Amino acid sequence: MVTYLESLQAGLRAAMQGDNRIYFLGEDVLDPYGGAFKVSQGLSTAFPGRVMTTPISEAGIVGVGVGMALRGLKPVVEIMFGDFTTLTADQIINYGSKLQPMYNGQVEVPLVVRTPMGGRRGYGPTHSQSIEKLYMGVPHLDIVAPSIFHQPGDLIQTTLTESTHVTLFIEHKQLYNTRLFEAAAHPGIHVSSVQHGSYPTAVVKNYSSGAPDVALVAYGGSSLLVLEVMKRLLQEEIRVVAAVPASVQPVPADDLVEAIGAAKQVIVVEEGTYAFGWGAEIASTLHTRLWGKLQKPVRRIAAMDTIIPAAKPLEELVLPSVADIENAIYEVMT
Amino acid sequence: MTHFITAPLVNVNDDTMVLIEWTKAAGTLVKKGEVIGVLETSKSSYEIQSDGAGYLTTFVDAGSDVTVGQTIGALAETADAVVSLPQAAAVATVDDAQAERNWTKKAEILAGKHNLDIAAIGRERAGSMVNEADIEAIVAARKGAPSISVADATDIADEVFPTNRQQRILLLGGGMGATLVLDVLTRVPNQRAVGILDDNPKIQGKTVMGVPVIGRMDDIVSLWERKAFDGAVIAISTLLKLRNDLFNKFTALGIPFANVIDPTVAVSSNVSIGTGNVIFGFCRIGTCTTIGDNNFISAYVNIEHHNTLGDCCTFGPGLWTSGDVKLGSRIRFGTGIFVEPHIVIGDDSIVASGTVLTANVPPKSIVKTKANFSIQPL
Repeated sequence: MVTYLESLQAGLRAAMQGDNRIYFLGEDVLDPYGGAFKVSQGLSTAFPGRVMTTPISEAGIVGVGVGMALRGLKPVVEIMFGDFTTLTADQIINYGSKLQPMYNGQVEVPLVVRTPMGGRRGYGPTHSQSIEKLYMGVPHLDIVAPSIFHQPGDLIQTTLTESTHVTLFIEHKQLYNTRLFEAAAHPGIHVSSVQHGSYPTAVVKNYSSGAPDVALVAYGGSSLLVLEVMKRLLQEEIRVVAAVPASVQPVPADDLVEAIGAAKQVIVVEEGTYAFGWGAEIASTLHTRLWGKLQKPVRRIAAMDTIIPAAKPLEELVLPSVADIENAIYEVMT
Repeated sequence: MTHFITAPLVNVNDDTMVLIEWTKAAGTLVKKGEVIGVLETSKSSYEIQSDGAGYLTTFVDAGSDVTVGQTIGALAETADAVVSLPQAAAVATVDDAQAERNWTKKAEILAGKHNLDIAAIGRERAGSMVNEADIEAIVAARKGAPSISVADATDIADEVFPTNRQQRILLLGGGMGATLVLDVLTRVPNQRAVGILDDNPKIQGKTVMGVPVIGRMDDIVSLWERKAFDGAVIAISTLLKLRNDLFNKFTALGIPFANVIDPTVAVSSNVSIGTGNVIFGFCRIGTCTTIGDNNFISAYVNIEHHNTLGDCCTFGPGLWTSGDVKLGSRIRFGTGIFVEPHIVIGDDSIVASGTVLTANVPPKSIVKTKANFSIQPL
């Protein structure tokens, strides 16, 4: 039984073992503390000199990272909370992501910016957001978000091995101590994978034969809700297929279409706020690709367009819940 | 009462902590507010203050990892109380709504799409779980049927002339009796048949004289809830017990029955007729006679003046009573019967064809007659 965190730790360790160009930068990342969420625990001991603790200056760290990447290294920068990435936006949007196309591919910027997003831990309005959507649509920027149906450690190794440009690697803080999906622990739930691009899309089903009644599309932390809903609906005989892409940007349209299969109702779930969300892009993609095949417009579930309260019950109210998804499924089916 | 101690949420970053030590030994009498142990999170150590009083039992050894919310100890009222770790409460994964229903959501959604009343199906199959396959079977059994929605359709003529609209009649039974009742209805301008219910799967979805068989007998409940008819009538003559049971069961549920009476029936003055009766052509009901409920009275039956007829009797054609005869309930009459004045026939009896009755019949009797003829070749 491996947790999301353990997989990430193992993946980073293996990557750093295999490639001495990989450096790890961030706040409080040295042992014994090993980072706020322990992702770098043990790395500074195992790779002395290649794990650098930095001042509290997110723009500075990412700027250094861009420079290191330009000069042939492979830096992994940790931003302690995703909410703080707004401080790095200039370096990512106006600088890091632009260099490769500006120089017509003559330079590579294999920078990985890792950060935890998401709520449900009572951290309040400025430490709970899922603001990766601020970066969606920035050209030449990859956004990867592992779910419990992926191996986060494998994904970060893929990024570090294959990517030649900036990647925003979104981890959900609720998942760190969650065990990755294992079939034996979840009877009746079947996971397979489709992949047309650099990253796989998990295909999760709560049935083994017949056509799905409804398809869910979700990424990252929402995979926990998806799993819970699918287990509940197993008892209700409602066949659900979920497409859970690891790649948020670019949208793995071919993966999604293949994963959704014959489902005629689609619900997109995201933890970010509703307005101008990832779900809108997915809905647009699916309406275009599946025009005439869907029975109803793609339904969206997202956080309320407001701040995330620190009080647990209020936070639950603002963020999408298992009940929200379950009710939406019943609604689109009737 | 034993008070259990759980590991508190000290730091939102830590789901687990280390229990460094118990500062009070197991068995010690602890006061409320006393420090009993120390936990260490990733950021600090934390003294556990007792939130109750009693004799301490510890479930976790010093040096172990504990998770937030884990039961780590207990405080008992007496020193010798044996306290064990409480059994983890069964996690209620089933919400209340689901616990109350005996069908899956899929069955409910499917039933909705086919205009089936899932609550009624659930009641019918109490004790078992109604699933997708059950609903599909019901739907398949009705395949080709115009479906209950035919009965639900609004009638334009009724809408335009609501005050004198036709009474919508639902027939129970789609056999030969139905053809008799439907034939009568062709001549009754203020009534029309809207559908037939029958438990025979072979006739589901078919029509009898153009009237569709729209379901099973028990579907009457949902049809009535949807006000798809105004009154029911049982079109079954020979199965007296079934006739009786259906009437009693559905009447108890508040479902109304209706009389279907051929226009050629002569009803005299001061006659009272109950409900659910079918009276065929050329019958006569004498003055001051009372008819109960749910009788199936064949053609040419003459029930004379000052008679009473109970409930749920069936008649062959051609019965003549004289005045002041009392006919009980659930009596099966043959054909061609004459009854003398003042005769009383008890409940649950059978009177054979050709009887000329000159004496009272006690309840649960069978009246036989010897046919005094022979048939020989010429």
